[in-house]
Amino acid sequence: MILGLDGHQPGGKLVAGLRERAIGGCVLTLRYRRPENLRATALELAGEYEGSTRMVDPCSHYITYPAQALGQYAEYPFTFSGLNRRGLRDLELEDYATQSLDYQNQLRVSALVAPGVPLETFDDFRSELTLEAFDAAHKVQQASNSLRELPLLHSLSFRESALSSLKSTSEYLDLLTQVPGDGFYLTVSRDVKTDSQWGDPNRAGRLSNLLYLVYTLSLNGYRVVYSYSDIVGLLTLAVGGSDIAAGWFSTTRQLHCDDIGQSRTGGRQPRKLYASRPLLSWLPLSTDVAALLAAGMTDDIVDSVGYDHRIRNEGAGTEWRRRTETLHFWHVMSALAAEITGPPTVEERVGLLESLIARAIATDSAIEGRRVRMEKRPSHLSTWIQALQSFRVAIAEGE
Amino acid sequence: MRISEDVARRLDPMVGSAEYVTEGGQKTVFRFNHASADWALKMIDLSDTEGRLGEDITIVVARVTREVRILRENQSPHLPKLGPFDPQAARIDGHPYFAYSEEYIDGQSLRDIMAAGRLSAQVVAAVAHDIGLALEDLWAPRIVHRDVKPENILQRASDQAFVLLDPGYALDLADTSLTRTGGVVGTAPYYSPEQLDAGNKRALDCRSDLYSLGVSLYEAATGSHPYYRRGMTREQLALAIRTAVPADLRSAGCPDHLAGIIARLIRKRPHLRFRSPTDFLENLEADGRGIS
Repeated sequence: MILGLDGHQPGGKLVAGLRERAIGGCVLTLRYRRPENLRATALELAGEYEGSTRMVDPCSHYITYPAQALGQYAEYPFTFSGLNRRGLRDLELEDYATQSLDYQNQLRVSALVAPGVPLETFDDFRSELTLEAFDAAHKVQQASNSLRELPLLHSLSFRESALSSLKSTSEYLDLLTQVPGDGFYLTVSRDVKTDSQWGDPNRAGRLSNLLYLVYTLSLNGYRVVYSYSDIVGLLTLAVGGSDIAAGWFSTTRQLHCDDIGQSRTGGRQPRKLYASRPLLSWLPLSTDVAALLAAGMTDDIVDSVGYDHRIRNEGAGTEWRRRTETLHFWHVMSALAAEITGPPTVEERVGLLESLIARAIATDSAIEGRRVRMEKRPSHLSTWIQALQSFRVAIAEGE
Repeated sequence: MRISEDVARRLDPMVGSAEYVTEGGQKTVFRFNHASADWALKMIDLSDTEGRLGEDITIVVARVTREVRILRENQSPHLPKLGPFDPQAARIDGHPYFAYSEEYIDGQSLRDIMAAGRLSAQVVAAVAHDIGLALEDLWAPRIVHRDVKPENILQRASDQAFVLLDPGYALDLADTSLTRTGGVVGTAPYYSPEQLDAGNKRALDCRSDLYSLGVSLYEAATGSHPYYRRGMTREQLALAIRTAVPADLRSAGCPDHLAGIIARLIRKRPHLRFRSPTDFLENLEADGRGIS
């Protein structure tokens, strides 16, 4: 399922996404909303879209950052910020979990997301502390009649570099797969700022290890929500992940420490982007989409989901606001998610995804053959293929 | 050294009818009749422990005491029940002994059954189901058996159910007074990779037993061990587990679903097996007790 991830300037995008069934639910975050606004929004969504998936990200990946950099997050009385090593060790884990979960429960969420401790690696002191936090959250949930009625996901938040080694990922998975609870809410803090699709070929191994982690948690019966995701999140769905959460700004399609503390205003407006289902890529509307339409390649890059009809009918000059861009992106992601998760086994799903990627690569080659000049080629596609191949080897050998 | 029937009978009038049955590990097993039922008397010669058995007497007594506690607390039909002769130390002819009793199970071990040839998928699935239930009952209070193997699986003649014997090596993760990693115990060909890894500092959990069960099932279904070959050292076995790919169970006529279940049980990484015995049983039962 595709979940809309909260961000700056929400402007009714989440409600519109639910209304149009572009998303199956949403994740609100403490970072972007004042407490009274978060409460009102959560209760409104619960009232109008009761059957939807609704979660609140406790943003525990922020607890080591200074409060002044964290927007509205620090306004919530149960959050922590600026914690150093000692501060982390001194955390009262049960109190931390109790306050966060009780607060979420008041917002009529459909699933609880327990706070955790962000990890640098899978084998340092934080990794042990995180397991203790998960146990504490489960204990808190089980002790409360009302909390017990809701599924409990644990925040598993880590630096991308933690995925460097399959061995340490595997060893940590041996422990994670004994954690009580219903699932995990994953956030990966990326080491690079402009690679929301994990397209860097040097990082294919890390992407493969991320897929291995999602696959293993899913194999063990956990629900896995991969948050701060871009189109690359489809790979996690193919290997068994249940949901991906993505928003409208690039900062909610990739988590990067440089984005923390970033002002919501200032700077130039981001360019209008179009999510192409056949190409599994974002394309700048005014340049690449315009050039491809002019080259007569409409059917190669434009499908018939979401707002594709506008591009087909009105061309690249159509009115394409941030809201349209986001809704179309969610529609494309939902359509792809439904297609990819159709087959019953991971092997079949990965095979299907590989065929979609191969088709996108073939389209890219055709574009090159037509000598259409593009600002940005979808280079992430070959990295995805590489990562999926490594993933297949990893699950066959188990290490 | 084998303890004589005469010594056993002198323990207590209740066990006056003791007849030798077998010996294994540190125990000599006798059968005695009490209140119109047969029971197993298990005796250990404690004077033997530091010599032939090479273990500290306190460790042996602690292990037996733990086994007795597990038997007392468990009501599973797939684990033996504690017998009427209470656990006790005794001195006979100057020798120290420790003895206790449990349900006498009249039947054949899985090892004996396998001697007649590889087993049908139905029987393999029944073993998987019954021993899965035993492991589920053990794991509820966080107990790891640590010695699941065909010799410790018995088919009870009266109801054909399979029973898991000898939880003497069990490790109680809830008991913090005992070291979690401890010494390596169990029977090498059925060790999980994490049991074999002497450098493993992490606790064993139920997935170690699931692995051992998987190896036993694989052997029952195919007639051969997935990794172990006669004469292998522990190091060679560990290497084989890391590198060898076991033959596909389907080539031995095992149905797809059951073959998939067993293949998953013997994955070398615990996180690729089942999360718990309950998870294992749910998967097994998802397809008519594993028969497809």
